[in-house]
Amino acid sequence: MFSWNERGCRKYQVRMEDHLGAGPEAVESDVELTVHLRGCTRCREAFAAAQLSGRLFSAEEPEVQPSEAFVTRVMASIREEQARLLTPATVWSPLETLASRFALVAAVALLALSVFVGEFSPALRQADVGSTTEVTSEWPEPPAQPATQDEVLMSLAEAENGI
Amino acid sequence: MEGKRLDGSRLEPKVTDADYERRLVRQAQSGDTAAYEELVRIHQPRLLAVVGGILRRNQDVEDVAQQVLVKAYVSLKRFDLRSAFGTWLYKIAVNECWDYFRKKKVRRLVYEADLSEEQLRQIEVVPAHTGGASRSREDAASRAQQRQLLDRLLDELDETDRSMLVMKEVTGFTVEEIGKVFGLNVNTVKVRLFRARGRLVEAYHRRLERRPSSHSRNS
Repeated sequence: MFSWNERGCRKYQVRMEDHLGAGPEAVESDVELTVHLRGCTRCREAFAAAQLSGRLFSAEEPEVQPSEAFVTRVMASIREEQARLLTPATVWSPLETLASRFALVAAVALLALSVFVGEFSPALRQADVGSTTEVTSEWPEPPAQPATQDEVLMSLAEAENGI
Repeated sequence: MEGKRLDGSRLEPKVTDADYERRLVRQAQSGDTAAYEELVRIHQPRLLAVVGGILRRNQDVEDVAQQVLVKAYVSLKRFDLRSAFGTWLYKIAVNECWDYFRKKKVRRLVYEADLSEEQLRQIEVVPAHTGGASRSREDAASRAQQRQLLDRLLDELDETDRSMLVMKEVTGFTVEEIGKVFGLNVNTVKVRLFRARGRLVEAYHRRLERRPSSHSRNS
């Protein structure tokens, strides 16, 4: 097969494209091209291939069904598009999107802040330790434990008598 | 010769005066939807042919064409009238078709053996110009098969080659028009078209060579 990237025969490719479908007489009337085709196998093959391509397209018929219904549909969809572009919803929709993104970012930031404050804030930790000390100091001293058996019996009797 | 398909026929756009069209565009740009409706009417046959040619009888042709016209309307204010409205519209159409393929990933896989070798070879002997009302039902069936083959062959080309060939051969665009749509000069378009034809035929020959019957016959 021939390579399609060589540039040497470019000017003849332009002329062959011009002569496609024009019949052999038209090609023969272009003396320079005819002489070139006699001497250049690649161009000869390429020209034959290009002519065959025309046959590949010979069954093609543009499937054009122009209809008033199509025009009506297009115009209706243009009116729809216009309406969509002009509705307040469309005007506000970028703001809505922005607001929802803001809300999301704020929620994430709040969560992160609360985690930081809860877990890593040194000031809060110190406050916790201090407050524990204070609470402990406010509690009354527990009563002394009975040391002997007599003291135990005495305390039980006191409890029974409601003292 | 330019602007004709190789079989000699041509899909003629509705004849319209360029100034009239420009006036319609200006009116549409200032919000006159009736003017735009007239532009839609003028360009609908060719637009449908371009989209239909690239999407290859896909059921979504009308939807994509409609999308193109809505997109064009929405960005109409940005259209500076330096090119013809049609050129700008078809550029949007080509891009929209390829977006469609990318989104849907519907480019067909290339299958090996759906036409017989005989059917494939027949294409080489079919005269290029076979139009007319005398085509029989068998003709219609074989044309359908030929179109199916062409679908598969076109699938093997890249986006630009495929679009250019379809615009030239199916829709009857001139090389000048194709050049404007793709932003290329006329000679570059001709060379690209010529080479694309070569690639298409190479793909066709590859199909012939891959047929089991031809292998067994050669061995």
